[in-house]
Order: sequence, then structure tokens, then C-alpha cells
Amino acid sequence: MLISNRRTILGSIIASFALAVLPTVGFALTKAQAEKIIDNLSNDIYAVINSGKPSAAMYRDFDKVLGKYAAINAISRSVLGPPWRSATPSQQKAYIKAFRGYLSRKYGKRFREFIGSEINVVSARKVKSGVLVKSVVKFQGSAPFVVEWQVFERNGKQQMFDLYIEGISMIKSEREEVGSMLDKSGGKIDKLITKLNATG
Amino acid sequence: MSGPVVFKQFKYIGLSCRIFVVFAALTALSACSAPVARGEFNDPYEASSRNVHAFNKGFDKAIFGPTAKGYVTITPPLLVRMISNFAGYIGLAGQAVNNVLQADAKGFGETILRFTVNSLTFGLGDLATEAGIPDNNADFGQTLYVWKVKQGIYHEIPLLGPSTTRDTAGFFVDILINPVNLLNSNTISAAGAGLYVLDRLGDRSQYSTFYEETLYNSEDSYATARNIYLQNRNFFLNKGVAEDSLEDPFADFE
Repeated sequence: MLISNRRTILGSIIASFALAVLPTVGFALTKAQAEKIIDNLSNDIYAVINSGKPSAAMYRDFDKVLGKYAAINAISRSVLGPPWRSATPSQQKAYIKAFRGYLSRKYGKRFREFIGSEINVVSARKVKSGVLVKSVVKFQGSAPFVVEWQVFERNGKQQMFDLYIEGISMIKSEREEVGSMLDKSGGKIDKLITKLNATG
Repeated sequence: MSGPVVFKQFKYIGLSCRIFVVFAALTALSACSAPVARGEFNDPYEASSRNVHAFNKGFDKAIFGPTAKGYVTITPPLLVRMISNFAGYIGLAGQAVNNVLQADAKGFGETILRFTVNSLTFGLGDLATEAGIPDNNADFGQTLYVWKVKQGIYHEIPLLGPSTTRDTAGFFVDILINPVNLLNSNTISAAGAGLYVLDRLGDRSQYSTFYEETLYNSEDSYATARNIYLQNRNFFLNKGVAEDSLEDPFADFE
């Protein structure tokens, strides 16, 4: 009785503590902040595609944009999934580096298709893990399409995590792709890294 | 232009119904053996679906892709756009029927408004999109979703590509309920089929990078097409990315 009472009291103290702390952590990232980040990010992306530089230079610029805004470690880990755990620290490091280069080339190529279009942030909504910002890409003479950006905050740092082009998640697509690459590499991370470096 | 959806919702304006009855029969037959869900996707007939995919890929490589390239090479861009606009315009009739079946008053209003505005150019221009009137692309697969019918099994249809049981059923019903087909004229049906093919060729060309990446530059094009189709379709049905399908940035694999 006494014990269960103590537990209840202890439990409610912990609960009230958690309630007091969690909201400040969970709601630190506002919709306006997230919109601002995505506004800056898309401006940077459009500056790169409209620069008219040759593709190699463009992909290097994309790599910089990625480094500036994206949670590249979290993205790389999420894409690789469980095999991440069995990799050695040096393999993990090499994989992140290779994946980042691969991503810059692949999405650089994809964003180049956006030349001549106009992008605008239209709204944002709170989701469990942060904020989902919606932007619309308009091309002259054809139907607009939607790009959604998942922004989250960790340790006071606000970063982009996933992006959805007409609902198609970058992370989900790359998990499929990198998963297939890993299968074809016989499950060997080192071979996967070589493959990533040679792709895109 | 009838839609931003990457894998365009199946829209056809009058392909001969008889062909589709055969297709429907084949689909029904293949659905007879006991389905078993495997992995993340409801794709129990993956092995046979992969064969259809291989066929579709071969068809794209040998015929459809090159024809699309040829089509936009010999056709002035303005004409390509007009054809695409007109195909979308004709499709508005069936779209309006689906808006009604879904009890979607706002969608129905949009469809009627698009029809009215684009009628000013006889359907050849797309003033409606320029004016910011969205194209809701309603189809019967979506109507079934609104009616709480389950998505069913993922598969590929010869020549048409990725689909699910619900979307395939929707595809056949859309042909039957399309007011244009009720005109019961072979000439109109043939013209409609031609228009549909030209529209698809235009799309194949407009989104060529996307098609090439998916079919020829991915490690496993079947899995990629499935992933893309289902995500894009769910996004359309849900009118946005569903919150519970979002990736978790805090998931740790340490």
C-alpha cells in the first residue's frame, strides 16, 4: 500500500517534471522558423541550379548546401538502417562520406530539372518529430507539384531530415536503392562504399 | 495537362472496352490463388509481377521511349502541350462523375470551373491552371478509397505499369462511367484512344529523366517503381504525406 503510494507519488513527480520539460524541448522549433529554414534552403538550391555552372561544379555546390542544412549523419544512418550497427566506426565514417557525395550528385541532377521553375513555401504543419514544410514548384505552362520538407531540432540545431517530392520520400527511396546495392555487394559495407562512390 | 502526379492516374478516354474486359478477366484469374502478404508491401505475386515489369521495361526501351522521343522531335512543343491539355479537358467529364460519387463538393466545383474556363480555348489551352484552379484528378480508384475499399495487391499491368487491385478496378470502372464513352461512337473512341496514347508519349518525354532514373539507373527497377508508385499514390489519396508514414529522425542504429 505504502509502496504503491510512494510509486504513485514518485510517478506523478516524474510525470509533472517530464511535462514541464518536454514541451520546451518538443516545441522549440516553431513553424515560422522551419519555414524560414526551407525558404533559405530553396533559395540556395535555386542559386546553384541557376548559376549555369558545369555539372561537376554544381554537384560540389550542392554538397555545400547539403552540409549547411541537412542532418547528413542522421539521414545516412536512417538510409542504411540496421547494417549501420554492424559497421566499424571507420566504415561508418567512410559510408557517410560516400553517401553524401552520392546524394549530392543524384539530387543535384534531380534539382537541375527544376531550372525555369519557381518555388514557394506555402504552409507548415507540426508533426511528431518536428515540422513539415510544404512548398509548391511552379513551371510555366504545366501543373505545379508539391515538395514537402521535414525539419527537426536536436541539441538546439535545426536541420532538414527528409524531403518528399509529390509524396515520394528521399529517405525511403534511398533505403530501397542503397539496400539493393548492399545486397549486390554481398552485404559488405566496403563494397557498398566503393559502389556509392562510383554512382550518380 | 491533367496532373502533377508523377505516375499519372490512369486516364484514358475511350480505348475499346473489349480489350479491357480481357484484361479484367486476366486480373481476376490471377487473383484466384490464395494471396500471401510478404514484407512491407502487399505484393504476393511479386515473381509474376516482375515478369510483367520486365516486359514493360523492354517495351519502353524498344518502342515507347524511342517513340516518345520521336513524337516530341517532330511535333511543335505548343502542339504537344495542346494535345496534353485537350486530353485533360476531355477527362474532366469522368472526373466530375467521381467528384460526385465522392460527395466532394469542392472538387466538383473545381472540375466544373476548370471545364468552363478551359472551354474558352476549346480545351486546347490550360487557362485554369494559370488562374490557379487546381486539377483534382479524381478517379474511381480514389472513389473506392473514399468508400473505404482496401488497397489490395500491388501488381504491374502490361503496357500500363504499376497499380493495385483497387486502382486496377478503378481503371476499368472509369472507362465504363466516362460520359465520353457513352456517346457509343467508334470514331470518337478511336480518337480518344489516339489522344490518350499521344498524351502518355508527351508525359514520357516531359518526365524522361524521371523514367530513365527509375527504369534504367536504379539497382532494382521493379522495387523502385513499386516504392514510387505506392508512395505517390498514397500521397494523392491522403492529400499530402501521412504523418505516420514520416521517417523518424531520432531513430538510432547505434
